[in-house]
Amino acid sequence: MSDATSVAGTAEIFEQGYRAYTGERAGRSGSMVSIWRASVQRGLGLRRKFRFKVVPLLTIVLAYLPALAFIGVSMLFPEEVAGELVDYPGYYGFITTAMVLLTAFIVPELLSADRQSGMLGMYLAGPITRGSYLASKGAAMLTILAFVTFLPLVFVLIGYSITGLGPGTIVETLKLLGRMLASGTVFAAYFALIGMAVSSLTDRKGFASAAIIMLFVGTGVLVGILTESTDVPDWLQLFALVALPSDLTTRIYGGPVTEETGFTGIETWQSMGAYALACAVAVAVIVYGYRRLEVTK
Amino acid sequence: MVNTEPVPPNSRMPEPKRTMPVISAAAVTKSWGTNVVLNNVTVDVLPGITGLLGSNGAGKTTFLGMALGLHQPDSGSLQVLGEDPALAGPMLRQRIGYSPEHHDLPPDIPAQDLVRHLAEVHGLPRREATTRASDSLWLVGLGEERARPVGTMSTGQRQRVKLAQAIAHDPALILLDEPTDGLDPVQRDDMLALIRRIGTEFGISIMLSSHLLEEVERVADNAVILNNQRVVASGPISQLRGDRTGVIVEVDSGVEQLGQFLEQAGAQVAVQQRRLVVDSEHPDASLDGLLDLVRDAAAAVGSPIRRMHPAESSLEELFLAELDAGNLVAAAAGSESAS
Repeated sequence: MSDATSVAGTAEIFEQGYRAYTGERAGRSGSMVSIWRASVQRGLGLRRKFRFKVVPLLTIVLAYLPALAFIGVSMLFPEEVAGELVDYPGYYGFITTAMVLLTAFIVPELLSADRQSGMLGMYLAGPITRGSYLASKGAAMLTILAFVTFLPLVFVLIGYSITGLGPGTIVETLKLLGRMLASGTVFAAYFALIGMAVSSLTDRKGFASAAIIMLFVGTGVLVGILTESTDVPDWLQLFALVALPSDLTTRIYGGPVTEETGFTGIETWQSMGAYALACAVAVAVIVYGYRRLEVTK
Repeated sequence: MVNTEPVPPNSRMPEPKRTMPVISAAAVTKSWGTNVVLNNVTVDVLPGITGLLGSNGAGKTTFLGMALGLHQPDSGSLQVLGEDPALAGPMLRQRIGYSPEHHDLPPDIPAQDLVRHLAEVHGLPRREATTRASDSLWLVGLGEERARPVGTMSTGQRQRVKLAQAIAHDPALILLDEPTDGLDPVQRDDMLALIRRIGTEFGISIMLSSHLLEEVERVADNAVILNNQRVVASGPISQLRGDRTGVIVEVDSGVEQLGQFLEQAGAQVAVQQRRLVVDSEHPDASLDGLLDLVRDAAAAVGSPIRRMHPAESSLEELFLAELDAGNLVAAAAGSESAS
């Protein structure tokens, strides 16, 4: 038992209940950081039931599995596979599916769900504008997509370096990291913007997810059929939305553009222009989708 | 820097003087396409609890949206907490709590996380937001339920979660859009008592929209009544009820004898079945004196009193009278002086 006298002498009320707040407020930047953090957690399924973690976990695993395989082979048979292993831009060919799946799952989860659940109205009733809301969500998507567009290549770089197949010098390594960052951003920004454009047109997560997959897969298949079967101009390849960032990435790494790695017969400026146009159209659709929203109901 | 000094209970940041309007609209007109929702609305909303009354489609939600700076008036000017919401929108909204009409909230998020996150969005540091989210949920009676996902909660509990998130960041003004919608009578009483408590104990001005006159009459100090896109009346509820004086007494028997007794005592009496409306011939006579007179008269003639109360109009009577008169334009003009 404690001494009653001493307890009485140091008595303090810890539970004050609801009271006024006199401290400083973080302003719009604090609000945006809060939305970014909550969105990253939500997208990755953190602090949520296991079923919400399955898709992000699977897609991330899917993005790292080829890297594990290549690193394993290079460790076991370093001499036999020297020069035969996949290069860095070529690695994207193995993980494009993971990127499409992650985009189709994450982006509607972060945008359409807010509209369906009324959270968008709650946000906009606070110190947030539509622009700052979309910027926070976009930053969250870039963060999540970096798990499959940037970090797997860093993982490959580390693995190759350990087995002696990496760049020879620190300068070369830094250059390569810069290219990885650029190509990762090209992919992440592209998938995030197109996913956001589709999700801004519907409140239904399922519809948005299906539409994103159909848009990427559908345009790829259609352009593939057309270029295989008929004599069409080369620029038609640029409509294969899923392959557009791969082509640009190949050019970022200065690699040869072949039918496997990009669009043959297309100049770099054309590839960059098509990429910029696709992003601009996506931004226009997002702006249109959010400007027409009624949010106080 | 975050101020870590102890906060005295119920102390508040400097805010506009208590007599300054928290919302001031001057000739505000708003249309959605060709549909005029608010037409030349002029009203001052004073600190305290204010009921925004009107039938469905009267423009209540649009008015709240404009107060938040989410919509711009087509013409006229609007001031909220002394600032133009169209210009000071985001920073102004940091000082406003808002509870929307809909009951949709992210179903899989625990109430505590949702309230904390929205407090952070309103600028509170994470640690402070966590503490205040908990305090707010306790205040609205959901302390024990705060870890439950919102999707598993009843409509009444969701209304409380919405109220908790509206107050968690310590706003100077709270806008509640139909806060009793979907509640049963018991839940409605509890919610109204809670709103009254927040408005009186914590000094936060509240504007609640409702289409139920009786509800506003019970909880609010002031009322703004919208009808046909216009303000038909506004001001303190006690003033809106009018200058009707006197006492209404209902007795089980001896109505005639009681009436005669009171007339002989110098009172003006109107008999309506078993009910008497009693008033004094002297305009300066006190209400207490009149109540004593009626009580003594009933005792003298042996009439058992069933009910006795001061005569005053209800908001419903006022509203119906305005509609019957059909002079909404005149009433709107009168409301400007009333407020």
